[in-house]
Amino acid sequence: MDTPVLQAHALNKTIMMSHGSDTDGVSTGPLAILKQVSLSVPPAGSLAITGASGSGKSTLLGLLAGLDEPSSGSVELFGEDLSGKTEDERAALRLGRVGFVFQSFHLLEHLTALENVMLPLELAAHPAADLRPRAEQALVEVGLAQRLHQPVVRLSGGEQQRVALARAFVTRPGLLFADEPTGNLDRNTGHEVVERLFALQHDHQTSLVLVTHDEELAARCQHWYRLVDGELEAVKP
Amino acid sequence: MKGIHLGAALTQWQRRWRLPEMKLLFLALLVSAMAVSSVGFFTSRVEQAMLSQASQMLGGDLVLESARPFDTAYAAEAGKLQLRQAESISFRSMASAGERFQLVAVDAISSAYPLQGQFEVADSPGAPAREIARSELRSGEVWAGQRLFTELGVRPGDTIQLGQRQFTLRQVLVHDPVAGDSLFELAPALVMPLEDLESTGLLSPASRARFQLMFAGPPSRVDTLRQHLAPRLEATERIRSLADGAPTIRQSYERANRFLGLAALFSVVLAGAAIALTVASLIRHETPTVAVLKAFGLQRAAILRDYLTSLWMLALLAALAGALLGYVLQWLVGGWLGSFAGIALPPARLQPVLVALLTALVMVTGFSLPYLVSLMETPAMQILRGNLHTNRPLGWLLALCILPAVFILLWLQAGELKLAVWLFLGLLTGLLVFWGVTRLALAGLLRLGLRPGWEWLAPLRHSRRSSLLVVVFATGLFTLLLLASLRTDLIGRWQDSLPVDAPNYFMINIQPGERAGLEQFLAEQKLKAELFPMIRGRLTLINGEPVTVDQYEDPRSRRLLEREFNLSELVALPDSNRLLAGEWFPQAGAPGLTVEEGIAASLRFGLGDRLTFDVAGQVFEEPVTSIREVRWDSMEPNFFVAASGGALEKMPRTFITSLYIPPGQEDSISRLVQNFPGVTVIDTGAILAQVRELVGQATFAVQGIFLFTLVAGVVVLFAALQSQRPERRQELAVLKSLGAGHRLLRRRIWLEFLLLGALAGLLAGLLAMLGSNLAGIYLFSLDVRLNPLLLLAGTLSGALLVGAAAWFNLRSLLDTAPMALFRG
Repeated sequence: MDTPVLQAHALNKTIMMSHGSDTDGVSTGPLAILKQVSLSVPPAGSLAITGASGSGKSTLLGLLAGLDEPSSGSVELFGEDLSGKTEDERAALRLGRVGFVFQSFHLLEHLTALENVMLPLELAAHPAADLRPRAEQALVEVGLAQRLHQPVVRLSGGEQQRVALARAFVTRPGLLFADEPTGNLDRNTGHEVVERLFALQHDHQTSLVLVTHDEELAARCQHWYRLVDGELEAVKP
Repeated sequence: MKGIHLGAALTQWQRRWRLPEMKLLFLALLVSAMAVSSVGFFTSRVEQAMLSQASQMLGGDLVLESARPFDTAYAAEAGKLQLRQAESISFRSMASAGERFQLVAVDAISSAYPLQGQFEVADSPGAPAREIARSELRSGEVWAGQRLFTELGVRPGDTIQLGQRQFTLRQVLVHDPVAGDSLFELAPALVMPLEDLESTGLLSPASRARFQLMFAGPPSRVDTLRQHLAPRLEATERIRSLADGAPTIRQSYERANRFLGLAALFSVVLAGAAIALTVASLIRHETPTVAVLKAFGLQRAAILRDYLTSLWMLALLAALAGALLGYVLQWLVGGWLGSFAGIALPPARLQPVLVALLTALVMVTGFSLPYLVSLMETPAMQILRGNLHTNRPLGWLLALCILPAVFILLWLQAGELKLAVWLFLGLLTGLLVFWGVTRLALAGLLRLGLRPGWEWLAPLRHSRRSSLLVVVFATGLFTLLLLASLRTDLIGRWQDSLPVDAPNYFMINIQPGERAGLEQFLAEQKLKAELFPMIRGRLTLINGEPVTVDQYEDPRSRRLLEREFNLSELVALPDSNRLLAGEWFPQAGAPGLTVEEGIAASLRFGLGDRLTFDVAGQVFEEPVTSIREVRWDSMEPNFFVAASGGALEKMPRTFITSLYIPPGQEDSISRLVQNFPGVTVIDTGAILAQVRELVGQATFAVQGIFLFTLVAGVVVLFAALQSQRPERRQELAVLKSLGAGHRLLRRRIWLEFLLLGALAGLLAGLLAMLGSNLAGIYLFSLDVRLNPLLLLAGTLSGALLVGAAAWFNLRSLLDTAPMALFRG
């Protein structure tokens, strides 16, 4: 079997928390958000994590992507252990190889669709002559050929999420993290975006980690885990 | 309408206070109130210092003048207001000692004279001067100018005859604190106690004399007296104020005043920019809340009222705190600069607190109303669906609220409608130009950034939303550069106008027969001086029509017509004059007259008008062929009306000159007086010292305000950056998640803001160059000067200031983990 693109071993995340309201005083104590979480994502494979609101899904995604550090346990991204790596070293590992799709899109509002999609290529220092054609191609693939030079704030929610898809796939990443990609969209638009997401994932042979509360969506992934009280339960191992 | 419940408003306010935007707005309002009030406190203090300095020359805060004795009711009214008052009666008379006679200018002064300043006397001619109190001048004693001692051959302690009475010449009068406007006094001065005047029998009802009543005290009470007196004055009586005082004082004071007002205005503009940015960001933040409130069933008017109440409370609090801080700041800086420059400033007045309050209220209302109203009009569903970007206030709404607000602020600071209108138009034009050029320049650079080889310009894309930011930076930098440029020009000009070797002696009454001998004497002493003829003539006709005092209403014109003009002949245009209209005389003896602009305006004549003068019975008529601007503070002989060289050859005349006598060479003057006893020598050194002191104070004031504006500018820069911080935060989170490391992000931030700052700085430099030339020409009568240093200074300081400020503001975000950034 191929080396997994992403592996997590016994991840724990504990934060110091202040309880109670302002009126009845403040007490503090540790709060375990994630307990002994382990998982593995094969190349071109897909994995869904579901859970109730506040169950720690997004925190887990942040740890897996190296955006945050676990209290204990380890993450291996593309075969490299993130433990002990600085934030910059972790960033370098993501550069050009990891894509993101967020619930609230997180597009840079002041940029056009094309410029948003060019951004990851620029950061990864792709050859200058290559930047624009590739970004344009990515937008064509998500059906936005006519909207290249629109500032993203003028696009509808569905269009914005499609720009986010184009931005996520433009570097042909080995791994894509999607955090509630349809959470801000109506049912039809959400459906359309999901179809494109899976199509692109298939075409580019990208591994996918999908965080969602939509079980129907989760069921479309090869593996499905549910996060309950900070622990991972396998639904579709 | 239901009133706003204070308790509920307070609770709302407390809740909103948790918003970062609210705190930022507080900071912006605080800074603006601080800038406005500290500049206000400071300018008012400096203004008072200058006014008191200038009124020292005037003799009091309010001076009444008449050719006849005053109604005693005036003094009684001033007494009721508890103002200090003094009285003087001035007239010409002959003083004699033995066989010798001399015309003297007598000042009979009351015991409280002078209200400001001190007399200076010397115990013998040539002895060092010392200050002396009026009380030391006893009945039967007089002080007299040095010339009287020379003319009469007397010494202190000798007796002279004045009218029917004998007086003891007690001391040599060196400095009369009110002498600032008696530069051309022909007769030596003689000061005597007012109570002795009657016994001289000199003053009969027919005598020509100048009666003066002087008042001094707190400004508000002086104003009360002024308002009381103004409608009651007789035709022969008038109020003398700085506005119609000696040209020397007036010009210096007005120049300084304009500049100070302008400086204060700039800080208002800067603060306004910060408020605008923050309010926009606050309203953006509050948009979803408003939608929810609407969904809950709150009415639009109620929401609007609720928000405005919160904002007003904030403004009130910020203004009070800002005024307090402003007071402390100006007190510290004023004290420090005062001790540094050796100038004691009078205490500040409280009016700037009111100005700060008004400024904060007007700003927060004017800048928030368009956004709030537009937010109220947006359907709640549209907001709840997340389609927030339609919430852009309509252009007309912006124009209806922000523009009047800015105008009111300008008016508040300028205190003068006309100036406010001009500044408002200038500001609008400036902002539009900034806006347009910024958009064009940014669009051009971004288009360039899409081309291979220019990808390094890509970070500038993030500046697209920053055209407002560039405009703010550029406006701030522009004001700073303009101030710097005006300051150097202005001070340079002032100092140029008073060179070290500015003339310190005037010589008048030089008879035509003495001219050649005097010129030879001066040449032997290696003293440079140009002799100008002085011809005394009365203006009788303008274009053949008789001129009478009654045709003119304003006191200045009436006064000009009541006395004789000092006419002269000019071969070349003097350095201290500037030709405004018409042609200079083509050659000596050419026909025509050149006139000073002020007198032409006052007496309502211009180019081509024919003026007829009567010079001791000889009448001549010439057309006006040129109009000059005269710098009266040049300490050189200047004339309202002059003909070309030799054109008035046949008219009876004396000559006048000014010259610089270096320290240690004063004995040339005594030799000159011995050789040319008829020549009147006036020591202008004392007057020069007063003018220098005025210039010193003005320079000091300008530098002080420059400092405040600089601080305000930097704070506004930070406020502007801070208002974009949430967006920057999200942007950095995205870039980091995409794999951008510290170095890359650092490079992008520096590059973006260096370019942005350089662009803003270049624009600011260009506009400052334009502005300083315009202001120089129209406000301060300076010549056009293109200063490429302004562009360089603008670009460099813009890049560095903006780059460093942005780095300072954003670097903490670079060290924050991406997940934390996303969480906000």
